[in-house]
Order: sequence, then structure tokens, then C-alpha cells
Amino acid sequence: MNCRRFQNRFYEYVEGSLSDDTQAAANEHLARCSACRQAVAQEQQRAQFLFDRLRQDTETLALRPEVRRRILTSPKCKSVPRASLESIIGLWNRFARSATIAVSLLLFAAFLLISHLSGTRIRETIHETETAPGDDRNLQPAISIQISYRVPTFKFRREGNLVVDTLSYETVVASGTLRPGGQEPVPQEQATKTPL
Amino acid sequence: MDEEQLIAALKGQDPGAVRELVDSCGDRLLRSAFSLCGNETEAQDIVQDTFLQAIRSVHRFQGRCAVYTWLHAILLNLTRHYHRDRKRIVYDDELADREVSPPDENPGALDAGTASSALWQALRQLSAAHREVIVLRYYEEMKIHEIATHLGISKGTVKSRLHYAIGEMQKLLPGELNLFGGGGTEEIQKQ
Repeated sequence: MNCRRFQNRFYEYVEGSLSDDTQAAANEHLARCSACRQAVAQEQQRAQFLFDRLRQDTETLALRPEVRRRILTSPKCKSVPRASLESIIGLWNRFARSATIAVSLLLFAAFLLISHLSGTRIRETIHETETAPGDDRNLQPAISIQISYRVPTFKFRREGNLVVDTLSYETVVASGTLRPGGQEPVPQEQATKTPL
Repeated sequence: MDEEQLIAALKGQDPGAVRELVDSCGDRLLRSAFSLCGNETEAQDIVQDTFLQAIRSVHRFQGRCAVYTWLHAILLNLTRHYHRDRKRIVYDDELADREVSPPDENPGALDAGTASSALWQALRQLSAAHREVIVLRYYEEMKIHEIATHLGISKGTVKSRLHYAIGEMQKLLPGELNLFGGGGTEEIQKQ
């Protein structure tokens, strides 16, 4: 064993946790290496010094009575329903992953089912309402459009020294059907007047 | 009551077991917490939280290590949280009073007090990671593999941290305390 290898096992040598073979090789190295011997001696002194000082300087410390009382009387210590808490945590730990996967699969299946059913229904409705026998173009859906808007109208008249104004709204409704086959929508307009 | 019986009693929510646990480990944990955080009030709080957390989670204790080691692992985690929350460690004034021995006519005792004071000053200036390995190694007297398991790091990392922590202390301690100067693996490296 050379210095480098000894250095790698330095702390284990000092604490005495090396295997018998390695310990013997380390001892052999130390017998002929004064620097490593000195390092070991210094580490042993250091350990003793630190242990003594830290122990002596803290030996008067003791747990305060109020801290001790708080530990012994804490509700955390006394009234935690351990069995129920354990059972909840245990159940969660045990089934959380499988439950998550199952719920995800269910949601996905439900989504697929809903998408499939709603798609079928739409297609059936379109087919029933829009299909004319022998007309392939009408297989595509027709879209009903209805637009309404209000047009304000002011009218003024004179009554003696006064000018009287009247505001009325005219609602214009236009509707029609848009056919993707290229036919223009058929507008049907009707207007109603609503005085203010 | 041996450790196995103690744990069984704790799992059975026996108040007497909690009392025995506090009696057997409370002061020792407090001293370790004080070495790690340097503040007695904080150390008392950490130990209180350690026991409360241990009592809550005793059903998870598998008995693979000693009860004190298990408690100390909880304490170490809590100490880290305290440090993280506070961002830096603030040592209170009582540390200076505590660490220096009272005046004594014996000059040897005065030297020990000075050395002690310098040691605590140096310890408080280390990073949390370096202080942890110093305390675990030299106060708790743990072996390298035990520290590695305790901290959840490799043995190589433990040795590296020890090496740098000792190097830091060497810089921080006065020259008279040559226990940290020019020795250990550093001296070997130079050759």
C-alpha cells in the first residue's frame, strides 16, 4: 500500500473498520511512512479534542420542563386516531396508482362513447332532414341563417312653440338557407316597427 | 424495557413509552441539536418537533437501526428545515457564555475555555453540510459508512466533506490549536 491508497482508507483506518487484510497492509505502510503515521496521530488527537470539547460544553444542557411537558401532553401525541389515519394513508398508498389509471381509462372510454354516439346522431339527423331521394348533393347539411337588426328612426314635428321628437326602432329580420351545393340563400325579410 | 419493547409500546400509544423515550434520548438529542444549530432555544424547539414527528410516524419505524439513530435522522431533517427557513444560522449570546468555562485559577482550565470558544466560533462559520459531518463524526462518533447512510450520501462524499470541513476549521482556528493545521490527508497529499 502506498500513501495514496492509504489516504483513501484513512478515516476507515482511524475508526478501525477496515477488513483484516487491508488493516494489515495499512499497518505495514504506516511502519515505514512517518507522514501517514503523523497524520493518523493528528486525526486521533483531533477526534479526542473535538469530542471532549463538544461534550463538555454541552453536558449541562437539558430538555426544559415545559418542552418535556408539551411533548408528553401534545394532542399530536395523544389523540391522533392512528388506526384510522394509518388505514386512510395505507389505502391511498396501496390503491392510488391503480385508481388513477382506472379513472383515466373510464374517462377516456366515456369520451369515446359520447363522441361516437353524438356523431351518429348528428349524421342521422342530417340524413333524415336534408336528404332528398336521388339527390346526392343534398347529403351535405344545409344551414339555416337568420339575422335581425334594429334601425333607429328620428321624426320631428312642431307643436306651437315646441319641437317634439319621436324615436322609433324598426326591426329588420332576414332569414334564409345556406346550401353548400352552391345555391344562394333565399332571403325573406320582414320588418316591424317598435316606437319608443 | 428494551428498544423492541419500547417501539411496540409506542406503536400501542402507551404514554409511559413516550416518557421513557424522552428520558432516554431527550437530553442527548438536545446536545446534538445544539451542536448543529448553536442556539439553545432553537435546539429545544427542534427536539420537541423531533419527538412529536417520531411519535406520529412510529408505525413506519422498521427497527433497522437504533432508536436514537432514527430520532437523530428526524432531528437532522428538522434542523435543515430550520436552517432553510432562516437562511442563515444566528447564534445567540448565551452560547458565548456557555462555551467559555468560568474563570478558574488553574491556567489549564482557562486554556481549555479559550480553545472551546475558538472551536465554537469556527463551527458556527462552517456551512451546514460541513458542520453536519463534523458533528456526526466527532460528537456522535459515527463511522464513515454510518454517516453516509444517515445523510443519504456516498462514503466518498462524506470523506470529501470531512476533508474540506477540517480544512475550513484549520483556517478559522488560531495557530495555537494546531490540531487542525498541516495534518490529516492534506499532509499526505503534499508529499
